[in-house]
Amino acid sequence: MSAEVASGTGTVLPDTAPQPGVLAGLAISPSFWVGVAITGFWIAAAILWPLLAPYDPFKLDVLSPLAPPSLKHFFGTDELGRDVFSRVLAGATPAMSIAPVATLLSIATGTTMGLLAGYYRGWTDALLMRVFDAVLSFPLVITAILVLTTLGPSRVNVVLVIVILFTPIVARTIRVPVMAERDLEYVAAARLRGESAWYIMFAEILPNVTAVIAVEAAVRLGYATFAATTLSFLGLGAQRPSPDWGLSIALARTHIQVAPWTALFPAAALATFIVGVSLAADAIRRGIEE
Amino acid sequence: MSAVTSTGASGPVLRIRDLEVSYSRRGRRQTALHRVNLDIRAGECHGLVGESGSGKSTLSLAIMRHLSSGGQVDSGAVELAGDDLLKMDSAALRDWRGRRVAMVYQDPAKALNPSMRIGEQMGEIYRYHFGTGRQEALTRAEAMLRRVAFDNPADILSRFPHQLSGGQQQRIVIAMALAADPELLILDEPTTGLDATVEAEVLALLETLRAEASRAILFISHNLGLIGRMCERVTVLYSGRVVEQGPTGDVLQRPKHPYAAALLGCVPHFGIEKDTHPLVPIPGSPPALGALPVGCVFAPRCANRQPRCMESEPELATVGVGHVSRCYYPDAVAPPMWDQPLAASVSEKTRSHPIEPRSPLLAVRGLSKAYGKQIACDSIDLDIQPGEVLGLVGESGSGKSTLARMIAGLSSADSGDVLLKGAPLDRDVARRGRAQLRAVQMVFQSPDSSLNRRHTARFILRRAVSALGGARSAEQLAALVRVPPELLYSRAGRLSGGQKQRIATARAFAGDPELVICDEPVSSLDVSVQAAVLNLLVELQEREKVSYLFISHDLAVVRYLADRIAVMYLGQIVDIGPADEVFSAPYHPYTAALLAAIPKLGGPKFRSGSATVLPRRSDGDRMGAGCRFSPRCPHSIKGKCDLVPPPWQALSDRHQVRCHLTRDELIERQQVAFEATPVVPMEVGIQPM
Repeated sequence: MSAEVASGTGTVLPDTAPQPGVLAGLAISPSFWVGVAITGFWIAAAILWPLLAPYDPFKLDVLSPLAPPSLKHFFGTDELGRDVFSRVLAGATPAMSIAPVATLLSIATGTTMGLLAGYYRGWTDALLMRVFDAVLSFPLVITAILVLTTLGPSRVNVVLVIVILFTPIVARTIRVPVMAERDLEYVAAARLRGESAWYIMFAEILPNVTAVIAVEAAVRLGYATFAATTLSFLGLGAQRPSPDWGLSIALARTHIQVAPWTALFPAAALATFIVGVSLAADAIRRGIEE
Repeated sequence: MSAVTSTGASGPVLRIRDLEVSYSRRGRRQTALHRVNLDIRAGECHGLVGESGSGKSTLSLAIMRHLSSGGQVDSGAVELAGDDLLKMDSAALRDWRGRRVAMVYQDPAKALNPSMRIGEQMGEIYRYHFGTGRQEALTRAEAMLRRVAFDNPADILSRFPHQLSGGQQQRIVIAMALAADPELLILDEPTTGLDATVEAEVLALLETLRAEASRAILFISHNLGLIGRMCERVTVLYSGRVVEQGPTGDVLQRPKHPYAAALLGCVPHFGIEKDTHPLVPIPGSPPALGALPVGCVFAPRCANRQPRCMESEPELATVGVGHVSRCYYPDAVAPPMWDQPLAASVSEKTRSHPIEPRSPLLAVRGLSKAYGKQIACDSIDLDIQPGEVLGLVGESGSGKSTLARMIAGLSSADSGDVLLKGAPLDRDVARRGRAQLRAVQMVFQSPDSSLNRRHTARFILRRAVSALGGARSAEQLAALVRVPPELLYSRAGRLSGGQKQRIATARAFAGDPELVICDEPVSSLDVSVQAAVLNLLVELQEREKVSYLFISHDLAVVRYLADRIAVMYLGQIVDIGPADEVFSAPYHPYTAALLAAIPKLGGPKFRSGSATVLPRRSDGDRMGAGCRFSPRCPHSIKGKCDLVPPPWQALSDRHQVRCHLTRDELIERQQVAFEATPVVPMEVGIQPM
């Protein structure tokens, strides 16, 4: 129909006022605030749990193992009689310490690789991308077992596994906008005044792809938490008696039928944190894309 | 046609009365159109001009009732043959759009669905509006394509949009707009962005169409030359108000509103030059919608401003037959510049700074570049003298930009040399030394992408100065391009288009360059800003004694600025010489075709376009062993032009063309060709931007 003919583009208004920024868009997005609230709660728990927890999360109480949730123990107790509520709060600390560090490192290495691939293109791009394809073709668990059984399970090595796995993903995401920016005339102008490739990548192009990096960082944070918890669950990450959520869920497996709360609450904690982070990340992405 | 007869020949087809449109911005309503009145009769083509932000597009969207969210019609009436648009329900509105009113937009590639064959897209119109079957819809689409001058409609129907040229796409969009035989056709910048010769093809079609049907046409354009050629009447919009309305000839020859006169004064009319006719930019910028001045909206920018203008807004007053102006002093408006006597006749003008042939500043020798099988530049030879402006023109795809990028070292030549004062420049800019870098700088086309939007103007200039070892400070450079120093602290993304282009120009001058390559530096700017930036480029060139390689598809701009002009066609220079000689008879046949494609103010209104339209360029043209232009050339000699590469012919001691025809043969043939459609380059005309 001809209405389609008429549905092209036209400038409707002169751009006299500056566009409302991403921040203004975020301020009115409810999902952003819900996400920030949930994430903020867990960050607070990771830092302040010694003040918030009603019991010592490591203190055994052999007389009341596997007690169901009650006013005395909100989330019940585990097989050694430790307070699950306190352990869930304290479990935020390993989650918050591994995931953000792993995310920051993955973003740093991934952004550098993405800048190199997108700026140089040609064989540099082809080589990096094929290496990344190879890395990504290994499932998470295989790579993790490979690294952690060789180097031994430790926080540092868990971070290392996550960085190995996330760098290619970040690099691929950053590479695309870098390629678009590289064709813009300000890059040509920088080359015309003899700037080095490193200067152009980090001082000219990087500031223009920070929005993409910010979104990617928020998304990666959620996945990094999930990955770290998964490794703990598999026994490759945190070790006893850590209150780590993944480890707690793994240990609760044996008595999940008689005491489901021992697995349920750490799992719920993990789920809410990841949902909170992704709500915020999604709102940021929408704000940037609009 | 049929629909028009119902209203009778006398009444207007489109009647807009006191139309008020506003947009909501952050909770505040801002008036975008204020009491707009406009009538278009059957068979009339009505022009609508104004800078961006004047309300042109808002008006066309309001007529389609397609206002974007936040926009609303506050009061007034839009009537088509007596039916009020604003009172229509959604069923009537569907009929209104497409069937009674149709619109053609600027970019045909966006108006066509890339995943549907042309036949399906066109057939949809007949099936939707007339309920015809699939087969009949195709038959009718085929007939319609024949009307818009396609020889092989059946073949076109089976193609996808990307398999067609820009001119073909726009003709199809026009065919689709006409398919339901609308009473009103809105053309929104229908040829902007098309190459000059493609534009001529579309305009020729529009002219034949308007001659055969008595529908009303609203022709939106910022190109006054086009308006002059196509329209009987014209409306000039400024800040959402009609400031002048009247017969096209009266408005363009004897404008009665200072804004209309100013618009005419800041466009480089074909044939004027920097030495005889400096452009007159409009000072200031249009007011923001929310911050209209008290009194006349144009008063803050008006050279003829009186105290009264600042107190109350003038009403539209009759200044001639069917001619109204919103000005208190319509008779004080100066006539457009080209009506004033020339200081010196163009052909015998004396240059203010004659260029003596010296050893060239830049010498290009045999420069070639191919992208796969596509030859972008084919053994280019070119000299640029110190202090000279060399204009480079040609259609898109002619290799102009590739040549510029090779000289700058941004893309690497396959073979050939670029010599700066006799010393070879490295093909890769990364391997050029600082002295070579500072000598050759560039001003780019897009103001939005040529500055890093995250950096402040000051940082950009300081970085350029330190990288190139310049002597001036950022503040001095800003003063050079007349950017107020306080703007230096703004991020580039916050500056206006004109300000960005000034900063980009200042950056090119940071290290005292000897050659500045200007690649379409004004083509994405509004006309009044364009004039200011062009004037700045002229001033800087003369003051800093640099040479320019000035690339543009806009012949009038190149003619205005250049001392010498080179014309490129499919990777070769085919015509080179002093500006006035290249654009005066005898011409190279391709240059003649480019010139003929320019819509001119002085030309006859209903000139048949066929003689000026070049045959379309097809992919096969490129591969011929002979003259590359021969498949499209009206003077092509079979067996010679298409087989033998043409030699260089001297038309004068400084003007050379690559053609088989001698000077005398060209004169003889072009006299015949141009008698039918006189193309006198010195004639006043306006080139599309």
